[in-house]
Amino acid sequence: MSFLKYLFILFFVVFAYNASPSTCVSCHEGIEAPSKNHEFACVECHGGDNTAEKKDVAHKGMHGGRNPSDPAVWGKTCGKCHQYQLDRVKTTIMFTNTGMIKNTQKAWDDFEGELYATKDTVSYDVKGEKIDIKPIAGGEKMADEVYRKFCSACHVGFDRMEGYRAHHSAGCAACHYSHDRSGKYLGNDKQLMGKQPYAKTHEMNILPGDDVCLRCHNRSGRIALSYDGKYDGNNSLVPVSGIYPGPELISGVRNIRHTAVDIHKRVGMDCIDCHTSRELMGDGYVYENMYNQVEISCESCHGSGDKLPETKRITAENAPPLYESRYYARQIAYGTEMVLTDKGNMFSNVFKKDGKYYLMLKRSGKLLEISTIKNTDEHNVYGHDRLECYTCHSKMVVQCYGCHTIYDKREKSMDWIKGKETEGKFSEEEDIRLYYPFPLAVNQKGKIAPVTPGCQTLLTVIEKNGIKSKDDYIFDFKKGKNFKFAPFYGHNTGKNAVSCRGCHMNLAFAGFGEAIVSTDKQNITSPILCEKTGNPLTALYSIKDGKLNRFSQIVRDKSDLMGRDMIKSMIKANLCITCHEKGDDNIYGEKIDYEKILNDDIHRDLVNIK
Amino acid sequence: MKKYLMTIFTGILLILSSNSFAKEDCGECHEEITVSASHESIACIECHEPEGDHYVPAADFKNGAKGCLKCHEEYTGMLESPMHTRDKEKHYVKNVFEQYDPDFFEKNCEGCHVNSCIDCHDDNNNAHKITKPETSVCLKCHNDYFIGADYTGLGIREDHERYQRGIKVAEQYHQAMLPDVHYEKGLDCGECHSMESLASGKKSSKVCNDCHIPDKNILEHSIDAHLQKMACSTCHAAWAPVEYGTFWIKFEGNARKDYFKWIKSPSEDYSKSSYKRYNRRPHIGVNEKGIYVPIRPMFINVFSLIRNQSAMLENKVLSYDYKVFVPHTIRRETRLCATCHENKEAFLIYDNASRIFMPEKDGMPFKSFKDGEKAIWFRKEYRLIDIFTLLIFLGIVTLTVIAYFFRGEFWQLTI
Repeated sequence: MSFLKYLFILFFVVFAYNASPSTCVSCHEGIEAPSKNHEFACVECHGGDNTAEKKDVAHKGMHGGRNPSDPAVWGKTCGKCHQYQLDRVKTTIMFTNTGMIKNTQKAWDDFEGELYATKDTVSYDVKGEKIDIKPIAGGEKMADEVYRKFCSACHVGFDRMEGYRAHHSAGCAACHYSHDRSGKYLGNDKQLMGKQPYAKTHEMNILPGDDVCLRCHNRSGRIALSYDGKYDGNNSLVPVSGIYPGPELISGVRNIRHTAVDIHKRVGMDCIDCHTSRELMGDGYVYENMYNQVEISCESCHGSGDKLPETKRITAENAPPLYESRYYARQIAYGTEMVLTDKGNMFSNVFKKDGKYYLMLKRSGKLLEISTIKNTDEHNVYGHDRLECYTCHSKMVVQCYGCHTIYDKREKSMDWIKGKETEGKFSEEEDIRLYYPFPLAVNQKGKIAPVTPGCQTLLTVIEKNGIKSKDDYIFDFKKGKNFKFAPFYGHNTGKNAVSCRGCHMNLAFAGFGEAIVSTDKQNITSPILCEKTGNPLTALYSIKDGKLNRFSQIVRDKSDLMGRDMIKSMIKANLCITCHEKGDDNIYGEKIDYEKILNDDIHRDLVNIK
Repeated sequence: MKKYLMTIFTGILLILSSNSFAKEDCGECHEEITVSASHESIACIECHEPEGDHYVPAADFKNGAKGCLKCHEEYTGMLESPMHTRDKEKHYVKNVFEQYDPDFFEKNCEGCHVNSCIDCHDDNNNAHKITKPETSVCLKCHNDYFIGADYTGLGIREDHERYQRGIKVAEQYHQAMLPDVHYEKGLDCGECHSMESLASGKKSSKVCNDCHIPDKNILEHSIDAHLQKMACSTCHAAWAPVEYGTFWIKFEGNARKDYFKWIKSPSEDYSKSSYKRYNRRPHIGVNEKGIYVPIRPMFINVFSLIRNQSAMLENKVLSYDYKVFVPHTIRRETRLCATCHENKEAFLIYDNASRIFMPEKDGMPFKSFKDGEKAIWFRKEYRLIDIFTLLIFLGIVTLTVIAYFFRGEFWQLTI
């Protein structure tokens, strides 16, 4: 039987390659096969006429030009075989951008309760309710325009064919094909050699590497840079590299410099080793926000202070790890005890064996043992169950303060969604970029997490006659001219956490910026100011004459500032931390009764508490 | 040209035709000139000495500022003051840059020095409106990284054009910052930096203790070591402009300067940038009297030379200097205890574990811009020499061990 199968495949391959009189390869001699599974006739994906001798005739009717995976044609090409994947990708947040659009509208005070996506999307949400999302091309507000002219250059449906190190093709190829820094084809096809814009070679990434993630995730949150131990600094273009700005450049003439590498990257993990295909390609449901689609957290693999990671044994022949791991270096076997994501789905590369937890690198097959934190003192500190792991374990969190956006109606610029130049051009200036320390606030899960400006937009509008109709205008948000901060995992994780003293004794974490304090006058303020409002720019609050002033708010639903009581208890802990330095000191396991402890025989003489 | 000739001609005629140099006569040509009240009653020639066929400028240092110093003799010292001679700066630049560019000072530092009394004592470039300078006059030079701007609440900005925005003073963009409390209360620079002090070569006429007695009831003041071993500004300076790495890129021949068009260009041959520059709590060092004081990089100079299409020098570190300074950002509010007592970084104590930035991976020969010891053991470019030296060292050690082994009784073999 097996012999017959191979004979059949052999026959098919021979037929596809030789029996068909393909004229494609007579010009495109040497072009790479996309993968072992895609060794069939070019026209299967590309369309066109592979019997014609002339280029124009042969290329007539090709699907999507150079890119058959373009969303305009992907139903006829990739989707023909990969229907399941295509249906998911059509609703993944990386394709719809629903969250990005919604948050841009909210930030610019243009949100009216209606959701938008890059394309008209009719599908179902996770509750099974039918959802009809309108295309953003029809949006008429300025927030819609800034999305179309700025942000939309980064979504899976966009063919980005310019910018050093920023090329990506639209559709499936956005992730499954790599592009050279220059955007040139560097493969063996003599017709295409050195031409741009093309993918680097015709070989596809079955398991996309970090390079494709970097194509988009190098701006805004910049997580692909941070994860790799890089940052685009202050655009200072130094240290130079030969006769060029250095050390490395990326699109927008930004220079990349080095920081400590994320601990996961250091041990060899790629983006896809944590992030499941359901997070990246979607799981078939429409989500409103990125964090709804994400199904993993640190705890999924490392457990928590009182729990080990949850697992489930593979007992079905169609379990996702079995088919998802088919193209990993090593395959997951039936019966393996897989670790579960926060949504209860199985990871396809994280499992438990002989009481130990392992992560398998998808591309190399290397096994990494996962350390779990159950019953460790430093992870059972009272009150710290409210912290995200990365609140302490982030080495840095990129923070861009003061985003001065200028909208000039006298000039034209490209609308990437409409595909044509329209009136009005956006440009940006910035005040300060900081990395450490970073302010903390409550995120959408109710946990205390790092926050980063998101965004501190100050809008200037220049009318056609050159007059500024808005000058560094600050939008209303949560009742007032508040600056916005967003909960954020910076993806620059360190094994060593921020120490107890490092956090509790540094008021920047509490949200007071580069705090200066007068206990006498009961003032806490921070010296870096917003020139428009006169309020501290890098702080969430200040205290004047004992009164807490808030001038920033947290953007996500259910997220909030830490507030008075939480800050108080954070600072009060210094009464203990001053002497009891380490989190693994067993005194921190339960709620501290300051009155009782500080008045006992040992402490009474040491401190005088009132 | 015609107009000038006419003026000169009339001028000469006037001089020849009259021996009276009264104000009215000068006014025939210089009718637009009105002298401020303080000097109104003085005839023009009292200040403007004759020279040749006309009169010299009164306040120019190159003429000895005779017109002014005739009456204001006590300020003669200004002719030798550091603001005019800039000896220290010239000396520093010579030490650091001379072997790479002997004209560095003229190209990049010449913009700021006092050449005339009216550099400071004029009013909006009107030389005859002689005034007592306000703080804004000082800011003509004392802006950006140089003390003065900070006093009025102006911080530095990054060099790239993306960050070049905000408050513009003397062609430099600044970040809005919390000003010095003395500035808020209306004190001009001159209140502490009197003419007498400047003319006698001193930095100031008043220091904190001349006006303030520290209240010992304040907890921090009650600690004796604080008052004895620390400058007031160590705690009370709210912030300071700090620049890590001052990068100079020199272009020669037909080198492509436009690759660097987004950063600053202090002169035709140069582009200038920095690794990081922002306004933060100052670092702390010890001054010559053993007092703990604020310090900042001044400067970590890094030099690159691009000649035509090749890089002759690439990120060469010419200096790694921190300097004692006095941030003029005094506030009642202070930094907290932990910003010193729990913070090695404040003292430039290098700590590999807590390090975030990796300049050594960016092509720098050191691991930190904030390293009091600044040492890198094995530089990439010296790897061969290092290995060679290590091998020789190991060789010597091995030979020594062998030599020791065959000493004395072991050496019996030869008998």
